[in-house]
Amino acid sequence: MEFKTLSGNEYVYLPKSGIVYPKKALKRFAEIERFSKSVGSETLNLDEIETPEVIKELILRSGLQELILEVTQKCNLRCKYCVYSESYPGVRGYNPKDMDKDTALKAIDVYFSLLKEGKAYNPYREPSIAFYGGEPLLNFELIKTCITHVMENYTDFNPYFVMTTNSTLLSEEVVAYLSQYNFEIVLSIDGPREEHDRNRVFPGGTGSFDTIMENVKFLADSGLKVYCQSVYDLKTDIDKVHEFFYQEGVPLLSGADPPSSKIPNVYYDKFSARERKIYEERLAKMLTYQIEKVKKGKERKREEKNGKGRISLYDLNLMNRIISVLNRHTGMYKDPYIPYTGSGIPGFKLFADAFGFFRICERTFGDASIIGDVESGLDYEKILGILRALRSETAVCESCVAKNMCSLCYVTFASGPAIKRDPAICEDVKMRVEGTFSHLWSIAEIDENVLLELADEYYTLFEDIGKELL
Amino acid sequence: MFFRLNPEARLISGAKNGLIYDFLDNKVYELSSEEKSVLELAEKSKEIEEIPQNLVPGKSVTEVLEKFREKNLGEFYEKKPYIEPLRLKSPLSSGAFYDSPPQLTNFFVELNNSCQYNCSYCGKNRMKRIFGCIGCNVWDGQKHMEGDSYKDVLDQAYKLGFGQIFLSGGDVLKDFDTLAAVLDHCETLHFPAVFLTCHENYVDSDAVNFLNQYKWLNVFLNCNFPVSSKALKRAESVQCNITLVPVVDVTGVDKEDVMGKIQHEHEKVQSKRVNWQIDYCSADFTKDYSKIPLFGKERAGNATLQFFERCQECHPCLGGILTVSACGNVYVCRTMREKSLGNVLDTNLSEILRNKKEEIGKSWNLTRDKITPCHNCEYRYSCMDCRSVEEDVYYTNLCGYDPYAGEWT
Repeated sequence: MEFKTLSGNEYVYLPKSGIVYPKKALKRFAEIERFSKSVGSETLNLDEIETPEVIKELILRSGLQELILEVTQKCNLRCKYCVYSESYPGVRGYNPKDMDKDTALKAIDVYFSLLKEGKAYNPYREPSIAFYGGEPLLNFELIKTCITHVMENYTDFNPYFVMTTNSTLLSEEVVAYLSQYNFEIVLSIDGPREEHDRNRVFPGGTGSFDTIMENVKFLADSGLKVYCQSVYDLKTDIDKVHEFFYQEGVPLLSGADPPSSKIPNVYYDKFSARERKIYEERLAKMLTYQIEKVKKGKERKREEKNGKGRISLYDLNLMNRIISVLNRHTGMYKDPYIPYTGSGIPGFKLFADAFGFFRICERTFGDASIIGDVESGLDYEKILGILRALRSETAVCESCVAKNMCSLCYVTFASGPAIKRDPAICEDVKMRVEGTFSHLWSIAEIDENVLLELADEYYTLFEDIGKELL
Repeated sequence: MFFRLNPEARLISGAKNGLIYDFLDNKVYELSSEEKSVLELAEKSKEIEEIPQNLVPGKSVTEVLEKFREKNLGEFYEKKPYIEPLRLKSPLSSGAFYDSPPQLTNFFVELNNSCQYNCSYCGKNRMKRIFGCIGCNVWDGQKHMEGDSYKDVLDQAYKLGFGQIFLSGGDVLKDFDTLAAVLDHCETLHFPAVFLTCHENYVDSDAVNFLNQYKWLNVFLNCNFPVSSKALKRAESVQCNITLVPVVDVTGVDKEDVMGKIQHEHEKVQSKRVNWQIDYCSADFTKDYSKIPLFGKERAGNATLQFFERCQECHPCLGGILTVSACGNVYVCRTMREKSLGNVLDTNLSEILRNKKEEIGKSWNLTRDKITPCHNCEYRYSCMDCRSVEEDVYYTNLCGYDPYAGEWT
């Protein structure tokens, strides 16, 4: 794949070896070919795996990084882009289901039983338990019950607790309780009032911004680690969102994503051609901002220092692009089980839904994503089946330009009845690869250390919340 | 105008000179002090016109750089390019966002601590030896574990993900039943590679017959030097992948003399179906190291990208290794056993790794960037030194290269 930078320099990206050459310097074809072969990876033949115990061992060694409990499917908001809204007709819809105590405690017991067994494989791992919904604080009593169960029964572990909340139900009492267990809180805030309230509304249509900003004050002096996740769509004035998250008193933005386009939806149908055009212009402005920021050089570093590591939407976007490129895997360091896509071994984290099914993650919905249940634990045969199906679906990836850096995951592949690849989404990924290389190489021509510096900054800022970012 | 090395060509500066590692050909190019200075500036994207001419008296800067372009190691550019270094691993921390398991490599297990001989180079005699880790050794006053304990320890090593198993003694051939049980267990666990260290003194015809049942095994056959015809004959009759490891005592001997003898012995072995790895021992390496090629240029012989990246993360001999002695004591390096990390008879390996993470990390995370004067040496990412023969793990005395003078002695 060839690409050009703003300076006019021409480059060639060689997906097989992962090397980017200035076009002018690309001469040693035979040596590059020999190098690629010498460091090439052996992809495992999944059909030769005779026993699912192999999968269990993989999970015991590298998986079990987090148990996510869907303590309720209820939510007191009706966000317009929610995957349970009418915007996503294929998904289950709003549900009044609470997880019951028995299910929650069994899920915890399965997790700790695996962690105990897994100590022989990974001596360094500590449990992480996340409370998720719906809005988890609608079932706060269950959260308290779960924590008591963990603290009383698993005293030889140092658990880490996380809660993702829309913040409307945070109170002084709730925060005081969470503080006892040093919770990490992930809030959903989309930006300034006009942006946030456009989508994140109560059932009556009233915006939730004022309520949550009032409640966020309870967290200010709690000492808890608090981060924001935001959602932006084609109407979002991302410039205003960027400015908003720079403000003092607003928790650090740790993630920003568009509403899911990886699941069949009608959400995106409502945007006009004009809105799409404006959105593209805003994105272009963001890229300009990123370039100007790097041009500032030393001044930028000084500002970052003075700003106590404050970053916002545009910075985060750049960091994520950098990490996707720097983390591309080639040759012997490819995952022999899943050579392509950003998917991991199911079981890397466990999402226990309100009904007691274990799923690949909190963002997968279809039957294809079920990997066990709280009664019988993980179904390793099923997980092996998922890996085989994914291998088959991604066989075409070998010839894809994005094969070493594709971030598509089970959200795309496992949200229906079977593991399935969507070629349209793949096209989108391919298109973005060229743009990403061109942008990052333009930036690195200004300051060649900036890619690694910003990636380091990202890991430093978010080292505590890594699992939520995976 | 700019000049930049290609992605596969990496400039590493030493105190005086420099090297270009060429990862497509696995070669290094030695740079003079002047060439290094010019390339350092070029690699910082300094315009050629701004590189001081007095760095290279008698030549133009462009002439110096042209030499590297002709070798296809770099190129001239009108506009400043970005050259991303060729890598195999992501430059970002792999365990940044989760508690990744330790990356384990070699697991050494001593199957017993008994031997009826008293070789001068044995561990108990405290004579330093470069490849002591793959040699047979007995140590002072230790008993050994029972057969089932070994199986249990191997199970633990398997679960932790060790890749290569190194079995040694004492005399590992003393008890065929125990050894068979251990080897059978290794086979069951499908370790990628298993190595067994024996001494020529114990490899009789029964031992050969025994070893020949395990053709998948890699055998290190320690032997005296010069190599006896008997040892060579025995080695040839073993059908495993066998490496003859003669131990050369260089104490007080003349360099030319010892090298001549090694050459002679090598010629004897060359035509045979056995591999060959000379080991060296000395009563005082500080006096004798300069006689040994492994302390000279030979130590800087691995210029692959994989080895380069490993050297940036850890010391290639120490990173991710663990040793269990015959009595169950756990160490990192088999020959650096001042203090045990624990004992597998009362604590499992996983617990030891967890409890002693920091202590173990000092060895596992030791890179030559933390060792003096290696941190100033341009060969630091291609070198195969041994820390256990040094007096101080953080200081290298025994090396034939002086990075400050830029000369091999």
